[in-house]
Amino acid sequence: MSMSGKIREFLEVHGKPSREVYYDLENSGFVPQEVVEAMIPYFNRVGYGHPSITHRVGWEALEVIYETKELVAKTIGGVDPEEIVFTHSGTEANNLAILGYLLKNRGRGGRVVLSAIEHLSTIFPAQFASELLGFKVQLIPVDRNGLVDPELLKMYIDKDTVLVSIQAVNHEIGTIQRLKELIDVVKDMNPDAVFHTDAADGYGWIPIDVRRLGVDMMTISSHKIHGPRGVGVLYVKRDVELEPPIRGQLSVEKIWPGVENTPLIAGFKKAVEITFRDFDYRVSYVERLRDKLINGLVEKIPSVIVNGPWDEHVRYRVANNANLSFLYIEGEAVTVELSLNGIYVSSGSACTSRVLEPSHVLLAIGRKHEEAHGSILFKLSHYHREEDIDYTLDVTPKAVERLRSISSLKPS
Amino acid sequence: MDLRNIPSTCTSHPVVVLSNKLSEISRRNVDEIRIYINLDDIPINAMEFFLSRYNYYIKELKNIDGKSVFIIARRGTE
Repeated sequence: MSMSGKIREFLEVHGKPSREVYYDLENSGFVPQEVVEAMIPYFNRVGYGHPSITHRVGWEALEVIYETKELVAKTIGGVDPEEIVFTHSGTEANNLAILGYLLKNRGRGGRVVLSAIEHLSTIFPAQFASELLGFKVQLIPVDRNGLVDPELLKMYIDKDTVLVSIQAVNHEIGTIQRLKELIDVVKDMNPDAVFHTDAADGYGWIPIDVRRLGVDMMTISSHKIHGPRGVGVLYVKRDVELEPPIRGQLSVEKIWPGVENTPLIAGFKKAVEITFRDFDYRVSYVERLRDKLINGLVEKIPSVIVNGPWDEHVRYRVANNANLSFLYIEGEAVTVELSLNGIYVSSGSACTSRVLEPSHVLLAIGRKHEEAHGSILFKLSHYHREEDIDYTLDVTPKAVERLRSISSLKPS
Repeated sequence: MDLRNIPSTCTSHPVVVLSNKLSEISRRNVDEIRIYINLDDIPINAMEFFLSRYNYYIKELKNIDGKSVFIIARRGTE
């Protein structure tokens, strides 16, 4: 049987649950109707041309691309729209930042410093560049909450440091880093070191002013704010020079070849407008749902651990992140069991797709392998309703109980 | 704990392994730990700082080959 045939058969057995709640916003998400509607004209009515070609349909594409650049520039502290570079994903933006900067500085040697819990789209290109271009990569340990200690960071920065990359918000455990303090440490120790932050999970959730913070490069991802997949942004401060790590015909962007995907950029623009419409209200609304979900799960299910900042450290946790380890069961089993009930989550037991290894983020904050394997990530947004949380709090304890009853893992 | 030949993959980098093991060791109240580590992976002052988070201090430090060190860390009295 073909692969698609096997998947079709599996989906038929799974069935379509009568009620669905989607929490897997880490990996992908649904695109709201108003965002879809903003994209539709650009497929065949306006702006479907190449944005660098001198005709009306090309100029229409260029117009919406620049409108989006101007909007994004405004939301991160009023930077120059020319400092906003479109890529086709957050992964590409991180690759452009790391590889682009190291390629430009090849032959110079030196060190690249990352936190131990960075996204793999930051760690892997840094390691790749170290092998290829002769840089040394160092990872800084984090504490139990995932925070980088500024005092510890000081010990990694010297005149040989060329690039530092630390996330604004961690993608798995939701830790909000003390970015200003960390950047101040780096710039005090070495004003020439460039600071990149992957803000894919921070943009739209915490206020970000790149100039006030002193950020040199910053990554944003469209799908993390309910925009369409396929749009990433790299903010590159004017005086930071990058060399394109991929080659091809240039379009609007001079450091990332390929034609910009105008319809998706138009959708991303709408998602940004929605995200920043009632910023404070939206964040506090989601925070309330998050607290209800975490407190409810901890209360109803025995042997549960909250991963990431919580209790007295909750101020360091982003509003939309709920990551919990259900002990004595596999996270993958929980995702399937919940899926059968229409609740879609992801498990921290996989660091890469289809690899059953515990996540480096959970190991780095000191979680045991079995705790990491049982972790489940719920990511919330303003599209969730109180009833979704109630439904989740009703279904999840039963799912966990059933899986524990058949699990070979037992409390020692 | 020998962290000198750990490959850098998505789950096993010397610093990730060190963080994970230290957390486990401190939970078990182990009195003394012996660590081999490459100086390129973690500077000594950072190692000292990081150990102190788990209430350990460096009792003995031996340079092995200019690139790596052997550390004996003991649990503090706190």
